[in-house]
This record gives sequence, structure tokens and C-alpha cells, in this order.
Amino acid sequence: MHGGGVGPGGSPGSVGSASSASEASTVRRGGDLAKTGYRVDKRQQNNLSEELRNTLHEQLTGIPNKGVLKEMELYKGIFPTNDQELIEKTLDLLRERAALSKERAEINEIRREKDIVKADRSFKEAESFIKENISQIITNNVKDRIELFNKFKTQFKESKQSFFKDDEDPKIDYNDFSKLMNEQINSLADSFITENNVNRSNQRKKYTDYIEAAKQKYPTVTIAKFKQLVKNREDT
Amino acid sequence: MANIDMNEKVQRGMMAGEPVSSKESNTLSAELLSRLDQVFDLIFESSKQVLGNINSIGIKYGKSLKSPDHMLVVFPEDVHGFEGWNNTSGKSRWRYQRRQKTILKNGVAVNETDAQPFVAFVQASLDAIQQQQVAFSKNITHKELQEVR
Repeated sequence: MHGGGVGPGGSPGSVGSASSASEASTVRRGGDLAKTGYRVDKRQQNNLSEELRNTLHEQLTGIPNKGVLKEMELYKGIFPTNDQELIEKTLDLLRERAALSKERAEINEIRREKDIVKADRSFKEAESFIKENISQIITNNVKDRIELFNKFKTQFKESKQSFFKDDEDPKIDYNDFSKLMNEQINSLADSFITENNVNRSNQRKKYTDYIEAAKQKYPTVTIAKFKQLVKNREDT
Repeated sequence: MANIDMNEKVQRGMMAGEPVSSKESNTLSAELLSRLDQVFDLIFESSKQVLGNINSIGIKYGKSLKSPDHMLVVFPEDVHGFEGWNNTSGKSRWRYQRRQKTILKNGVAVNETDAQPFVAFVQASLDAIQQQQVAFSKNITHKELQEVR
């Protein structure tokens, strides 16, 4: 993945999303060290710096890079030492690390539980939103369920702004949405059957009426579903 | 004239005398190579995680990042080091070839003892990373490195 810059014999370009052509390094024949390669943009530079500091430190010393080891130079972890004081410090820090790992595991468990609660709440909110707004969500302009789903996500997020962060989308996925939609459409079809006293003997006439109405209002309802609902009602 | 068995002569020559220690030969210890490989793998793989599919990662540092004194360039199978590049004399050009298990200084293979300055150079690079006093460049090519003077 070349972000831009200058390859051998190439022309200047940008690196990453945050770079401009003027920021990009250039390669010149016989150039010095600064002129080699593609400059890593500022954001990536910071991320990479952090990643390398943490990874190298933790992997090579077995100790998380938490800023507590300023006095321990990184390379002493790579190249063994006989310094007893350093060994003691390392052991202390390993114990601290074990304690931190335990704490981290507990925090992760709490976070996971909170996520479950939030996902559950999000699902319930979506369910009630679909029930309340199905007529607005489903219109003749919607061609298929994917489009319906995307429209729903936008409307849902807009109506529940306090529930979502700016960069956060509703957690509900397409399958859950589809399931909720099916339940709601079943419920609407069921109401229609009750209100119009649809039964198998008059099904053809009522069915035609229903489909006509459904096409206008609920384009995703299916014939098979309607028939099944009528049958279910009569069987019970 | 009697026939001379050249194979036998060569074999005898090799068997004679004391074995050459790894410090004297250009053979580097497995321990050193393993440590270096571990460091370079970590650098390259961590960089890939942040930057995506890169071919190489360059770490430049020194008094001024606009004109770095030193540069370490890590490829998956090869590592290049440029040390003291702003010095009028005493520039060192290092190369660690992982497959061949050799370290070259200014084009000449070095033994375990003479490889220690390279180890120190790598340590200094790690220190610079740790102190966040480096600039990174990605996808430096071998051709570009050949052109660095």
C-alpha cells in the first residue's frame, strides 16, 4: 500500500490522508538520509512511535511500557544483565504486571457486561422505534430490505441522538433488523386479517385487497407469509 | 611422477591446527542473531500493523531530524544501518543479511566482536524510539540505499 511520495525515479506525491505534496519526501540521486523513502505522516508517525515503544518494551522485557521503567534502559532487557538491583526491580515490576493484568481482566469483564447491556438496550430501542415508525420507514421509494435497513439506521440514529456518539452507528445488524421487521409486518398483517375477517374461503378477494394495500404501504410483505398467517389463525 | 590427491591435501590442511573460534571467524553466535532477529521482526511487524503493507521501515534519528545522523532501515530479510552520516569521517555503513547470517561493516563481513558496535547502534536506535526522537519513512528501496553517499 503505497501512500504516495516518491519511488525510485518517481514524482512527488502525498503520504497518507494528512500529508500534502510539500510534506512528502523526495528521492534525489546521491541524497542524504532524510531524502530516502516516503515520509510517514504525522498521525501515523505518532501511532507508530507509540506502537513500537509499547511493543518493543513489552515483548523484549516482558514488562508493559507504563513509563515506570525510565531508569531501566530498553536494551538491558534485550541483553541480559548481572545487575542484582535491576533484577530485583524487574521482579517487582513483573509482580506489578501480574496485578495489572488481573485488574485489566476485571475491567474488560465489566466492559463486556456493559456492552451486553448496551447492545440489549440498543436492540430494545430499535424494536420500539420500528414499531412506532414503520410507516415512515417503509415507503414506496424503498426498493429492497438493504435500502430499508440503511434508511432505518439513519432515522434511528437521528431520533436517538443522545443514545449514540457522533461516530457511532446503531449496533443492530441486518439480521436483527430483518427479524424485527418480519415480526412487525406479521403483526400488521395479523391486524389486517382480524379487522377484515379474512378466512380461507374469502382469501382470494381479501388477499387481493391486502396485497394492493400492502404494496402501497408495506412493499416487503410476502404472499406466502400472508397465507400462512391466515392458516395459523384458523388452525388455532 | 606420482599422482597428487588434491582432495586429500585440502582435507588435511583444514584438519590441521586449532579450531577457529566464532569470535575470530565471521560466524556470529546463534544467541546474537536470535536477539537481532527478534528486535527486527518486532519493528517490522509492528510497523506493518500501523502502516499497512510496507516493504521496509526506516528509522531516522540524530541531532536534527531534518538532516539525520543515523538511519536504520528494516526489510523482512535484510537490515541496513547508516551511522554517523553527518560526520566528515568515520561513517559506518552496516548491513545485516538474515539468510546469510552475516553482518557487514562498510561491505566487509565482521566477526562477533566487531559486530558489537552494530549491536550498540541497534540499541541506540531503540533508545531513540523509546524517547520518541525519531522520524519514520516507509518503503525505502534497496536502490535508494545504494544511492546514499
